[in-house]
Amino acid sequence: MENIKTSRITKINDDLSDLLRDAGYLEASSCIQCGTCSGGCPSGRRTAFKTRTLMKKVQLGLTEEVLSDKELWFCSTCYKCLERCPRGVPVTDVIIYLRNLAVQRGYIQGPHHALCKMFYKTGHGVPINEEKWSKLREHYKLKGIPPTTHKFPEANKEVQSLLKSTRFDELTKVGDYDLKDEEGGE
Amino acid sequence: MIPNRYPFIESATNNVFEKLNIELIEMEGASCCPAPGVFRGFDIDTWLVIGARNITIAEELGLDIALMCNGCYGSLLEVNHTLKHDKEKRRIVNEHLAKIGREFKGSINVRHVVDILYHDVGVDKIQQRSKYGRKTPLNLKLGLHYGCHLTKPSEIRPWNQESEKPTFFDELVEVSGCKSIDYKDKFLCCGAGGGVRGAFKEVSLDYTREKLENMKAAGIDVIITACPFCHLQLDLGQVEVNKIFKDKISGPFNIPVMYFTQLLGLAFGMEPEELGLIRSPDLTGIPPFIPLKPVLKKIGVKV
Amino acid sequence: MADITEEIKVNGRETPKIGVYICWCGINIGGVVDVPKLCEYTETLPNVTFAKEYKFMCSDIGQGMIMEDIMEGKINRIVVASCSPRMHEQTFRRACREAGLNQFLFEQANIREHCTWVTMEDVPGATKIAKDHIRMAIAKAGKLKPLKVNKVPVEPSTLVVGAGIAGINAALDLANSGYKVYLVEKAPTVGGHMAQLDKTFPTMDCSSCITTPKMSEIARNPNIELLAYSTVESLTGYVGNFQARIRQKPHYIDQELCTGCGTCAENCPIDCANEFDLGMKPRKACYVAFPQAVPGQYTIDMKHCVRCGICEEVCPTKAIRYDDKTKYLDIKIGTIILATGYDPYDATRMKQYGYGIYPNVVTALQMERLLSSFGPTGGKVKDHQT
Repeated sequence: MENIKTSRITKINDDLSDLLRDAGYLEASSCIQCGTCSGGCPSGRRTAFKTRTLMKKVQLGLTEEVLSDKELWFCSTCYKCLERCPRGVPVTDVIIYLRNLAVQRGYIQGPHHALCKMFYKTGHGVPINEEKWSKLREHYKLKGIPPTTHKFPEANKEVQSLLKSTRFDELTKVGDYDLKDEEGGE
Repeated sequence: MIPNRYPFIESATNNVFEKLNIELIEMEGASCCPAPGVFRGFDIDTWLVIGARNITIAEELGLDIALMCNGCYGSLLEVNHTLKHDKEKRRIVNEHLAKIGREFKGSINVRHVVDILYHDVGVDKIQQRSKYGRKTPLNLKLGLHYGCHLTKPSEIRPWNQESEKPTFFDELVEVSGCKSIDYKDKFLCCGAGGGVRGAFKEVSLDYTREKLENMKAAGIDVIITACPFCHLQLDLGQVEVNKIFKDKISGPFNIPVMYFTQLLGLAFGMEPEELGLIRSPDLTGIPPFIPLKPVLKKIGVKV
Repeated sequence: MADITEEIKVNGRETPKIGVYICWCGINIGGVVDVPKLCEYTETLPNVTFAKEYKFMCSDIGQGMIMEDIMEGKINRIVVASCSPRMHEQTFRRACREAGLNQFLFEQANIREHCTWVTMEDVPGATKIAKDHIRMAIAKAGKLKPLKVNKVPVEPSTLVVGAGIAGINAALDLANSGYKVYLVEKAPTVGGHMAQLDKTFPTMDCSSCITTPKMSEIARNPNIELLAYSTVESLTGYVGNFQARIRQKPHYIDQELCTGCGTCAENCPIDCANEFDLGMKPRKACYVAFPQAVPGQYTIDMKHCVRCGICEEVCPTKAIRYDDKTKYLDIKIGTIILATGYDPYDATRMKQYGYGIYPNVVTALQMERLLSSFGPTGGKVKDHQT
């Protein structure tokens, strides 16, 4: 029983609720803890991520705990909870927004960080980084380089300037370390 | 993912659409949609802006967007819908786009190829083109994997709010004469999305393991997908599951995966090689990772 | 309640001269909003003759202020901005009446419970709300017309629609107090959903054990006329004096002659869905809902009956009447209680549970029937489909 986290709640603060409300997710406070979300969650049945608990923590305003927790990233955004919630809480959208807040505070997983760099550099999460992929395209009678940002450098530049404009590069610190090609088997 | 890793999905779909007299025009200069599972989780505003940029490319062509990927569909459909209805967000996005001389106008629609084939062409017309049918079936037991973003959130999707037990994909695919088999937890997520495959591959593979076990128990021959990421997760992921969960599973899985237009192409009488069902002999480390040859041989398709 | 002073003639069409009295209510109102400033604002509103303020309008002095102003002929409408009308509407109405003004020319604005008591920290907000309430009350006061208090005889009988546990209890309470009750129930027998339950929460009473005594009581109570297998066809009249037409559906079995022996059902060849057991066990076209039902006579479900004639042959008291007709009963009642209960939610709509698709997915009410000793499985929880 030693690994159970306990939190002292001396004051319920409304920061998270306020943030969610301002971002348009007012219904998050309607959660009645019925558990239908956790009941259908494909992640919860194999990880420590419990959707219902997350919503409770949000209602109680345990901001730092929620945003720093790795479990927030175990959701595969399948949207089942959002579909089934009897109170109409847009659960998945709330989780995605919380992820935004977490990234703002610097909480991002390593491989995701690498993906951001890839996106910034090439305009794609999964780019053509080996010759075999071009050859594979040609095998199926397609042009070796697809007509995406790969082929049109101006398009690539457009994406980059947009990423700078929204300050995505600052947010995800894409200038941080050398871009190593992340195969990841893909 | 399709152009850079699964080009045969692109070419198979092109071929099928050609046979149905629908022209697919390439968008030039598109970037990652951006992927809803990862980039939307990092910054929603950036996701809106980059998505809007891709939409403006289609707006300039004056054409609707046709997508072969559930992830792209989820992203662009929702970006399009949000920006069409939320004036404030639209204003902010257009401020960013103005810096590169673009403007989101909200003049086109975003469609998934399943949507186009089901609603615009219709199952009956496609059945007419199919060489197989109920009387001459291709004897394959299909395990359909709809994928999460095809049907959810159901409010803005064209499937009549049906996300628990939809049947449109089954109807579409059964023009091939194959039977779509019901299996336990048919609508379970593949596990790849939401950045889970990227950051916690083993967790995502556990979803896949569960799905494969259910499919195996139902006696399924081939898995049918409508999304390249699901396709990757169930295809390459199957090889990975066989390795990582070797001690947990009763035996290695061997259920090949087809993107649905590959199956439709087969039903239209096209060759398996041109549909990407047979691995090209000159390259290594390329899909299909679970070989389709044995299953095709079983149903008498000449390889 | 006798009028002390002769009432001033007010026909409702003259120009309203509204006297507004804003109460401090000690610090309840006065501690939040600036009452003198409110008075200033009020006097700018149309038809307001004056706006006065006082610490406790409900007191003798406060009421006296109102009465004096009425008797001096200054005003013909009164608005008091103070507490909730639930507190003092009667007080101020009496003051008006005793001063000679029709008591219904008074309007109260609630700037305490609906204003200062809920926005104590937000003074500008509370002030704005108070102004809104006062303005609304003044607008209404301008449209008030004098009303007469009338006495109307009330028919001392009640129509209770629905003989579930709520309707049964209401009927018994009224009947035992000496009033006549017409208890109408659309099913052939009473008891509603409670008769379907196994045990009740939190006492874990056997549901039938506490319901059936009441069911037999209503059948025997001389003040209750039980109209089972009936619906309310139409209703006219007004509060205290209603006329209702009750449609009595044909049982196709003479209810006087039927002894509830069940021979007809034993021989009936038609199986149909059993509503009482929620489709888990069939019943015959000739049926009674459950063995302890009240009334205990049988009914023929004509939707499924094929008029084969078997029941007619075997009935020992010759009670079968294929030619039975709908009857109508006209009744007079003073009051009506609606106790129609609920319908269970259609579980097929929650597709994630696969109700109706997968075996052994049941609703809570079906579970109650499975647990019930006179249910489809005799109280054993097992697959009712095997």
